[in-house]
Amino acid sequence: MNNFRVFSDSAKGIMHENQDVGLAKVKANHAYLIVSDGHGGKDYIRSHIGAKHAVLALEAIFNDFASNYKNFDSINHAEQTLKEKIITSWRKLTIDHYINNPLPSYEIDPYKLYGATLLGVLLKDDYMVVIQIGDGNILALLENEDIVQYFKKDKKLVGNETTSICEINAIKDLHVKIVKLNVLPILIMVTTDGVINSFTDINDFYSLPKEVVMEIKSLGFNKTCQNFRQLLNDMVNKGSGDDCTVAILYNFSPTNFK
Amino acid sequence: MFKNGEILNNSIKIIDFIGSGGQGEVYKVQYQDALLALKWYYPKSGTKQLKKTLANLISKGSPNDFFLWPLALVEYNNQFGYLMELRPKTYKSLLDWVSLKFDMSLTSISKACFKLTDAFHKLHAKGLSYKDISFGNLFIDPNCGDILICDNDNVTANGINVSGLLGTPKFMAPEIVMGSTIPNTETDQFSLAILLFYILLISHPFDGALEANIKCFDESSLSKLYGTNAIFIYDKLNDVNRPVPGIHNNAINLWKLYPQYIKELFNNTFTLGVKNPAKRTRESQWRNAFLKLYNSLTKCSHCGMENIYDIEVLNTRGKLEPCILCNEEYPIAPRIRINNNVVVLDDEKQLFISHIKKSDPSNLSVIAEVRELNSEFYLTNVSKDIWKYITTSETINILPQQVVNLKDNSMIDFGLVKGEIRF
Ligand SMILES: [Zn+2]
Repeated sequence: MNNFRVFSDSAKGIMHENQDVGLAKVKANHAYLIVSDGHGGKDYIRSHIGAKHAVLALEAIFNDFASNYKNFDSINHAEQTLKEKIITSWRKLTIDHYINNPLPSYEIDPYKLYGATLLGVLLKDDYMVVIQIGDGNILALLENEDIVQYFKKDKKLVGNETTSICEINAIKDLHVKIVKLNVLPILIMVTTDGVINSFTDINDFYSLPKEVVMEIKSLGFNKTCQNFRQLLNDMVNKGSGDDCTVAILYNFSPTNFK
Repeated sequence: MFKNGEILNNSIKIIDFIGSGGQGEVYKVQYQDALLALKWYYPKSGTKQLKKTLANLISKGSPNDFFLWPLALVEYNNQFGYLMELRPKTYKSLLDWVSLKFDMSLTSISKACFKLTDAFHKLHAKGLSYKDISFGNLFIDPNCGDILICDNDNVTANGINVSGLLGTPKFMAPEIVMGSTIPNTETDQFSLAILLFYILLISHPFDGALEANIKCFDESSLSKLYGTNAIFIYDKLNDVNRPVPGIHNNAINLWKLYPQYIKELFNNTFTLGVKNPAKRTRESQWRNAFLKLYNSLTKCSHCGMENIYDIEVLNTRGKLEPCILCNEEYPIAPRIRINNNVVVLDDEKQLFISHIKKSDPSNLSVIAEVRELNSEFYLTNVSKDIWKYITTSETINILPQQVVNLKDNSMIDFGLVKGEIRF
């Protein structure tokens, strides 16, 4: 995985404490990107904690999957198992937290307090695991400069509504896809919805991955990361005002698989 | 010698053959409810003296959990062997490490070397010596750095040699190569340093230009290269035996990675310590150095590569080197100073009992774990004790399993000692 460079950062919105969490890591044999956006609002007072739980739960599941999963005969089964694991581990972390920190006069489903979205990509060898529940974007830039968006916006997601990991039937809204790759993408970008919402022209958002790659090629990875940090702050201040979080993986020597 | 399903002494059932060596064979067996390993000696190896040695080892007990120690003597049909624990599959042979068959992080390497040197510290403290330290006898779990030391049936009281065993070529101390002594604690210390050199540098400390120039290995060349005239490839005062590019690439590339305090410990053993065993690095010095190495490891945020936060470099040059892999500068995680040790609180770093309890320097029981999210650092108390978290504005309790978001200029009171946090 030495060909990969990763970056993640999160800029806090104007109104509240940061409800977004972002993570990007390269390990010896795999790499992953994860972001989560806590819902915010009065019903979701612990969504920043829920977002952390979601990221940590998925990270553990990705690491386990990368070291233990070998059998690709039954991809559907593997995807289903991943869905169940993600929901179960998030609920376990969340209910443990609630039991240790109960709210005496609270009357609705405690999981709602922790509502969040979750998006993630695991890259290993010649496959990629992509997961998403709720809004946000997962984009991949291919060598021929095509942009692939995994999981188009859910029909359910009208206006500011989002599906959430906290819902009782979240497993139905959770998308999990194991993608076999012929060639690794050049860049993968995972963002919370604050990022796309800060663009007045949506096409500018979709050309972001290509611009990032051009910048890396001319300025180097470190400088590009610093610039992206500034860009995220600008997005918050001039754009949506919402938290903006990104996780990026750059692959500086794409490999063709036979 | 045994068939699967055969039952010895109405109690030990042979399950499977595992392997054989010069002295005997090893079987997987069932004894009561446990699955164990049985080492069974060939009649020519199973001497009365060896049986006595084994009985002595069994009664002394294992120095710590890292030895696959003899548990019980088994006698059957006028022959004998002993029971020991099975080696789990997650452990890999160091032979496979030096032939690059698996990968291991610096975190695992530093933990494994800590455990290895501590294990020999404890063995020697019992008045025993191992006599045949080499990579054939050591197994490592590369994921966590746990180790297992096998073939402990050669262990005897220091200075007593039952089996006539002198050790493995290229691991033997110079005075054994020259035939002037038998294996003992100090020769163990020399072999241990060679083993550590292999783990860290995947090369031999005396294989340099001199070895490369020898066309034919005879006894006199071996004693010259590995005997009391042996010259360390990085001897500071004598550069005749430096590693040769193209032949000794590991020694050249990996030596650069390690901090000066590790290099000094090798230097002591492989220069002055060649002729003078008292100058060899002691196990506790190694152990402290490997904890220091673990403390200083930090991952590059861009490429995930482990780098060393080298305070000596920082002090002399004013800044750290860029990442050894991607060559970019990367932000350094917060550090905690506990007593005189600085630990980088990098993502996934653990604090151990040994960090806070001076009287328990070899205890690697985990007491705290660090996580990084959104470039913020969180520390979880995984001990059973209540700590205090002290910032400039407040003091709060950190209960077991509780998480604190770390801030610059804060302090953790662990009870026994305080740790100061700096960003
Ligand atoms: Zn790097």
